[in-house]
Amino acid sequence: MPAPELNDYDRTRYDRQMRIRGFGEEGQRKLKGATAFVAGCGGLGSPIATYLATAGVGRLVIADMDVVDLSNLNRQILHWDDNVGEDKVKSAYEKLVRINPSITVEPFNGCIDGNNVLELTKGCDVIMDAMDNFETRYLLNRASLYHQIPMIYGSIWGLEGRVTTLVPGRTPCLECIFPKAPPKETFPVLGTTPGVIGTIQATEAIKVLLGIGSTLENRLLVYDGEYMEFHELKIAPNPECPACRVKQ
Amino acid sequence: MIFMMIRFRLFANFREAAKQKDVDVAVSGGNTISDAIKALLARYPAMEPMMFQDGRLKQYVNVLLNGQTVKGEQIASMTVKDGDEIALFPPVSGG
Repeated sequence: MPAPELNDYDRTRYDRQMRIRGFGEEGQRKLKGATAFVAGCGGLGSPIATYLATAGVGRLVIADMDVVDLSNLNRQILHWDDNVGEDKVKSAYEKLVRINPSITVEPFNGCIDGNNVLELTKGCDVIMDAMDNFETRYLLNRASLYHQIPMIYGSIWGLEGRVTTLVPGRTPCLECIFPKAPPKETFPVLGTTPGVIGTIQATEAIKVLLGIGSTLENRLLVYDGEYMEFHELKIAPNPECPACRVKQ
Repeated sequence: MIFMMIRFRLFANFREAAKQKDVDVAVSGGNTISDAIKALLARYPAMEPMMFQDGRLKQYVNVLLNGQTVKGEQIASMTVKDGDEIALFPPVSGG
């Protein structure tokens, strides 16, 4: 399908980013025609969805199964005090369509599971991992491999975060890097940590959609906010990975 | 007898167990990465269940020796020398 045309509103709204080298009207049209699946509307999902919306990604599919809890509000910036008790996708949807009324936001209020993950991600150009557990991340990883679309992985703990860009056929998959799931836990976290990681994830997604710059392919970026250091770990495919190397 | 100092760089809950980011550990029982990690665990036993299962480093712990990624069997076979730096990253699952 050809990339949609820009209108006068788009040309003004996105003027500053279209000035970026390699972006231009062509890049903006690519974003306008793109769909991102945002898996989770919490700490990571809030900045990811916000920045993809402001950048003009034409269609966002947002998914979450939880309701807003008061203890979420130190970091989940799409949700406010008067949303406590509401479904997160409803709360997120209402903000996102006001942040950018020119895009389409499709909410899915429910659990991402083995039965629905392929359907939910069908027709998407990129999967944004904003989950809080590895079981669902593994399902998203399988969907990324099945549909052959990139997945931008992110996770956080305290003042630390990890982020990488997984592209089927070009990089390891999530199961190559983390063959066994660490346990789900109630983790400590400062709100700025998902802010840093989520905005890096959104940056990576936009670069992947436009084909500009160099992404975090084959590099796991570790953010250490306590000492304000960034580290890089080289990552490579596991030749025996049950998800991406062994025929399913 | 082997005697060397290895610097460990710790992340996430490993750092919480040690209460510091960098730890210098004297290693005397052997000269592999695995021997060095065992010397670290002797000093901080609380780290062992976070890091080890059935006597082996958990598969999801990322190890760097002087900035280079070390995988699987290399942990038991690759040697370290005085002044080397081992970074240990647990995966984190929060979102």
